[in-house]
Amino acid sequence: MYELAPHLLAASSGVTGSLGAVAYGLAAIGPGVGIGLIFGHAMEAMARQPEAAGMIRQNMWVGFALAEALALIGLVVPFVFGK
Amino acid sequence: MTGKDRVRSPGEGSPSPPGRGPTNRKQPLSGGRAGDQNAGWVIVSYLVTGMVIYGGLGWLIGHWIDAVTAVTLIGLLVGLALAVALVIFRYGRS
Amino acid sequence: MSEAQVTAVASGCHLFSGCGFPAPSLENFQFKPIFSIGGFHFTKPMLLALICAGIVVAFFWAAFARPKLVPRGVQNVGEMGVMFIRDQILRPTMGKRGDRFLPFLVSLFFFIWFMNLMEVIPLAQFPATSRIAFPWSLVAIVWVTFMYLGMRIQGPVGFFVNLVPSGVPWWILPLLAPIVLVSDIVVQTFTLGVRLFANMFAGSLLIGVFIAATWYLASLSVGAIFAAGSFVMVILLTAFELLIQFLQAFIFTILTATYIARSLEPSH
Repeated sequence: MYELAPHLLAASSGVTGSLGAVAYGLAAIGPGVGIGLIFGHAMEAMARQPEAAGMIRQNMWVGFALAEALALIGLVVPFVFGK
Repeated sequence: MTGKDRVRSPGEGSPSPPGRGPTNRKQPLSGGRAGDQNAGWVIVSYLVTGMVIYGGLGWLIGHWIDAVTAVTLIGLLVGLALAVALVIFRYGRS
Repeated sequence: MSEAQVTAVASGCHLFSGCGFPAPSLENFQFKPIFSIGGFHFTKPMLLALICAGIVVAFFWAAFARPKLVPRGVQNVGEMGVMFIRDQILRPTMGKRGDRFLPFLVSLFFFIWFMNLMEVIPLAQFPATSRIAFPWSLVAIVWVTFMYLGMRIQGPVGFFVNLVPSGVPWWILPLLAPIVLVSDIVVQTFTLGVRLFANMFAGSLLIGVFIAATWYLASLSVGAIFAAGSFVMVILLTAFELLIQFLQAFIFTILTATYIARSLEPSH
């Protein structure tokens, strides 16, 4: 039934094209906001307490890697599940 | 007491000597860790490489066992987890 | 431009004259050869790349042919360029011992920047770096440089051993080692070239779309306001592209310096 989804969408509203592209677009919203929050808060923290900058930066990179991982999964899933 | 003799709090760095500006700025040498200037690019590269290697491995195994989608996905997720672990080892410890 | 597009534009293809929007596409990036020798076609991007190389050589020759202690004229500008690379790119990544790579980095930066600038110079209006061969040739030079240096300074095996981070538990090391090795040697060099190419390709395509839209939407009625809006976008995007051209050349050069520094001294 899941393979009917693009055709259902097309039949109902005349929208055609790649559903995978839409899927990635939606999937990129979350990590985008997340990465922005991480770097923004990290910059604010480093400005408030410069002597803690090293520790803050380490945790910032770890948080960035986790958020970026979700974005990359979103990039790959249309290819794995697509036809 | 002149200005340069005053007691400094631990957060301040030492004063840079007068002269050409940019050469004095304390920039981290490459090869450093958390202070790395292109850590972002390196992290994205680790994540993508992890997904490609272990996703590819998963695809090969899935091609053998004839369950391509599921095993590829497992490979991708395992690769991602390993890459995140690598990032934690390289950038998350001091 | 493709034949169909030239015909469309020349015949006054506008919004309501019944033709579709002549959007720029990959066809715009393929050129008819200026001349051919056998199977070798000499096209406009090659001509632009040769011109840029000539400009870089001529400029720095004129600046430093007879250097004086107190710089005058062209030497001033040349010195500004060299000092910029040295203080912003070379010294932060490699320190003083990297000074012998200064000519390489200066040539790289200015060659890439001038090739990018060809996008906005009239008559040329095509960034040679948006044909993937040009970035990838430069990346090949960089790759050979840092691989050779790394293996010569750290030993052929030591170079790869030093890439893997220390402090990793032994049982997880064989799983992480392939990621690090493939990432540092293959993926980072690949993305170095693709980043430059993709930025230039997308930028010139974007400007092309809005220029085509300005002509397509032009009409003598109220609809001219759409064409005006499109034209404003062209101007804004050109300004943005000027920044991106400089930034991409800078990023390419600073990553090159980082990779060479990683070969000179292992990252722990």
